[in-house]
Amino acid sequence: MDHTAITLVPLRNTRERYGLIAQAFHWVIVVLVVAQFVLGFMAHGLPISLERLVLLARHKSIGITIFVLVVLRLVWRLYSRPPPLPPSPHPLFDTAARVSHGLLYALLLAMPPVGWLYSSASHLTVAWFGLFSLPNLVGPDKRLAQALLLTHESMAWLLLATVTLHVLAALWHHFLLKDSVLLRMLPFTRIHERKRESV
Amino acid sequence: MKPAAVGLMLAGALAGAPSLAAAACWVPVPAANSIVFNTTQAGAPFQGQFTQFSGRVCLSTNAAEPGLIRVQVQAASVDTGLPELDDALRGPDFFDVARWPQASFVSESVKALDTARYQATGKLTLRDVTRTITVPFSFTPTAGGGARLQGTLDFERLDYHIGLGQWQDTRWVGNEVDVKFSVLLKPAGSNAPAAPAGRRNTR
Repeated sequence: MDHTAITLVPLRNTRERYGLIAQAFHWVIVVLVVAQFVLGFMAHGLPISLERLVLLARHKSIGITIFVLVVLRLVWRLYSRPPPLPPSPHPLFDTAARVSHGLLYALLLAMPPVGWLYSSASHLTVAWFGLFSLPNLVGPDKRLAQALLLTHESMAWLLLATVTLHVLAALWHHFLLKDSVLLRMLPFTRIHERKRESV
Repeated sequence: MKPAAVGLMLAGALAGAPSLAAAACWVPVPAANSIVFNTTQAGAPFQGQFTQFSGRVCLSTNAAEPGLIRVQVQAASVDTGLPELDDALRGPDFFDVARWPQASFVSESVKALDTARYQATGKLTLRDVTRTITVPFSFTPTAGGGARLQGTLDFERLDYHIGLGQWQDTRWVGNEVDVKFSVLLKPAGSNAPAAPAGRRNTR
């Protein structure tokens, strides 16, 4: 048993893997985004009711949280560069990876403000877990609200599609290409043998 | 009555001097943002207004003839900016306008605090509940014999059965409501089509 290979992952990213900070950002955001889909789908189509109010209040609070986490995550990413992409079968795969990662970040950053605009246009001020509230960006406007909701929902579908691609790609790397792409985003995993295999 | 005459009476009333008439009366000129209510939803501010109301305001310096303030608000005129919210507020869980179309305030006493500030104590009726409340307000003459009446009225909505069933949860819909009013008044009985101030006997 090679004990050095399963010691704690360092905080900062290395050449081989993501550090603990980047991993924490990744997985906390995963959990919150899953919660957002659950809350959003549950609230979707509900008439005005306390249930809808509560679901959407939590959805908005978590949305603000995700936005802040993604900003911090990008700042951290500038400070501690991610490990390079592994060798891929074709340069197009590198492009696909970069585009899909960019799209994930773009959607995670764009969806909360669109939701905030939608709330403002619906005359429902956004608060963060009831502790503080955000200013309304626009006045009440039914047509604008409908357009913003459609935009928010379209982005949700695009996000779902991109996340699906992202997950499938990670599994493809792990099970078919047998490289360390999935493992390097997991703590407590042994990466050395795997890496040697894949090189 | 000419505006100048009303102005004269008003000046007399405000100066605390014996006035020509014991009381002068005004009626509201409905306008946007005259009656605005504020509460909270999910910890965030929530605002709406009532656009249709009528009433009568009579102020006097003569203790023998106390002032009078009556206001009737059409509950169905609630306007939060979003039609489906307004529909919900008109419904049975909130104002239930089908059963109680009007909210009202009728003063029992109006007391002058100083030259521009007064305090009305009277009965506030929302839905099926009537309670006695005290409302401080200011009365500021405007050009042309009119005036502006301004003040704030605070209450807890559950005291008036506003928000039944699931909506009684005050964690998500605040219990405290404040109603800010800033109403332009014109002299009663002026030649403009009378605001429905004569509704005193309709209920």
